Amino acid sequence: MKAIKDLYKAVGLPICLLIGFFIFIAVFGKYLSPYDPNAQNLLKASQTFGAEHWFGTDNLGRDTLSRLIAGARTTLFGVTLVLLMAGTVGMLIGTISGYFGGWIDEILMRIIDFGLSVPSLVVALAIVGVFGPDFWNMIIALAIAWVPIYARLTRGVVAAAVNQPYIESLRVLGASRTRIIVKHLTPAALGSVLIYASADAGVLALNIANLSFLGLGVQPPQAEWGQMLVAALPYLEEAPRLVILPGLSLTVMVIGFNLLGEAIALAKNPRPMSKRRLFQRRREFLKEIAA
Amino acid sequence: MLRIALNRAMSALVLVVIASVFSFILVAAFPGNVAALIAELRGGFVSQAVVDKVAEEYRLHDPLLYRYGYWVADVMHGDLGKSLRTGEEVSKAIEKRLEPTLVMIAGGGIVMLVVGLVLSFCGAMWPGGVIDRFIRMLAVVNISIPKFFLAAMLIYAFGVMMNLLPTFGFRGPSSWILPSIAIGLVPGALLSRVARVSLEETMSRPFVITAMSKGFGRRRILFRDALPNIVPVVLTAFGMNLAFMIQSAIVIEPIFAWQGIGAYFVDAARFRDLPVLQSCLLLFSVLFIIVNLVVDLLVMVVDPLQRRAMRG
Repeated sequence: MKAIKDLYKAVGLPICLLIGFFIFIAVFGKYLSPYDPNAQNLLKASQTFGAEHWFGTDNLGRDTLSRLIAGARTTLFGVTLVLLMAGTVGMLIGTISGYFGGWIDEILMRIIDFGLSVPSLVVALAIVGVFGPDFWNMIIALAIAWVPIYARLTRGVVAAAVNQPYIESLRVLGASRTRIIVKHLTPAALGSVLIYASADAGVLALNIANLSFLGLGVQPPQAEWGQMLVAALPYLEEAPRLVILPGLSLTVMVIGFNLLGEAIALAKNPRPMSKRRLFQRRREFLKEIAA
Repeated sequence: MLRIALNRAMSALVLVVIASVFSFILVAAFPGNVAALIAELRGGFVSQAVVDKVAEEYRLHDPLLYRYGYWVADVMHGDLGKSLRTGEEVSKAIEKRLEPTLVMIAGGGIVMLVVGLVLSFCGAMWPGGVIDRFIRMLAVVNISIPKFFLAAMLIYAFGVMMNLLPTFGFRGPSSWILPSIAIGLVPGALLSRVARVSLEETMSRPFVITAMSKGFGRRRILFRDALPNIVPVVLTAFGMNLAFMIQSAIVIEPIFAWQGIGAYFVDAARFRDLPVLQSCLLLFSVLFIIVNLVVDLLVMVVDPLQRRAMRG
């Protein structure tokens, strides 16, 4: 509980509100959206902003606002799934690698090195290409592409913890290998993994959009921002709002995640004090004394 | 020095080998009957005899290890197989499509360097000023903006509204401008931040205070004294971002309808063109590994501190 409180203090209200807003929309979107996001109505196609359809309609007469809301749901659902999968598998590999060491560690880390040295989108694109474009294939592909980061992260924490006195004493006390791994090493790594994941969510959201934009992720008619944008691209001249709105939604969401990640990183390991900050701090200190 | 460089090259070589294994396994793991798929793509009546013939041709009955060996030997000879869709030789197609991608990455590199250095030096000239704060804000916004959205907005602003620049196709230098900006702007903002932070750090070192007390102006100190100090950091960041541009090209090329290798990769993924997919994955991985290696070696040569640390 205290950890959450500290986190909230470090992140600040505006960022929490921003991310909370998107999560709220994603969860309760079904009740909020004025129309069915996939319902077509050609009689009301290509309307601009108006009272009936607030953000207008697309070329098939689908309500843009409803589709934007559904897009938030798709993106956040995808991000959560990928993070869960990649986090679990990555932690498993990292723990094995860090705990056993030796040649297992050597081989696993070489493979992880490769995964880290090649951009994730390239790996994900190749995997989707082999298994076919589809929402679930995209999720699995991204999860595979994201495993190395979490494996590396976990391995670092576990390898550092394994030789600590408290693990040593557990072994002396007769704790089994499974008990040490599950009850003591995994929780130690879980913190770093969760923190990294919160910062990583933005990058993932961008990549889901990238793949969907290329027609290799979320398939129409399911609403997703990248896919909405590519569908609207031919009408850029007549209806730029159909391109701008999904792009803007995605940008704002990713800004939220990135600010969150930055705030957490700053709280975890504050920047060395620059001269300017030093002066500022000194002034505050003087004010405190004067008061 | 040489030993460390060789060591670095060796580990890059190991990565290349793993890349080749990965590229191979991925296609070998194709769900379903590859031979049947190929036979189907070739058109005509698909019978068991045809499927068997295809399997024979692609050596699909051989053990995996043998197939990997054959494949590596072929790749070494520059034979990447033929596209399943068009029947074109993959190596020839890649050769033809290399030019647009290289132009885009070169243009993006220039944009990145200009944007990054100009912004960071302006920020360092007037620390805490409007530009300084603007850079900080811009960096967050810029890493959050989807590349395809940025490209679409550039097309809208310069192509549709002002009607200044061509937005479609690879036709001469004027059509190179928008893609270069689209691919280079985000890395430029990242670079500006890296350069700005290391400039700030350099400007708080004692030798800068000495120079100030000698009465030199801020501009002179920035360019004559601080600039050489941030070169290794900027070079590393530049190289890393340049490598990542190879990835961005995948998304940007289709928007501007450029026939580069990024677009080739996407097409292959769309149509399950296995040999092309395999070759592209290998090509991108190897390119990425090589760029990173070259940057590491360059920094080794440029940075006197690293050189001294290695000698000692």
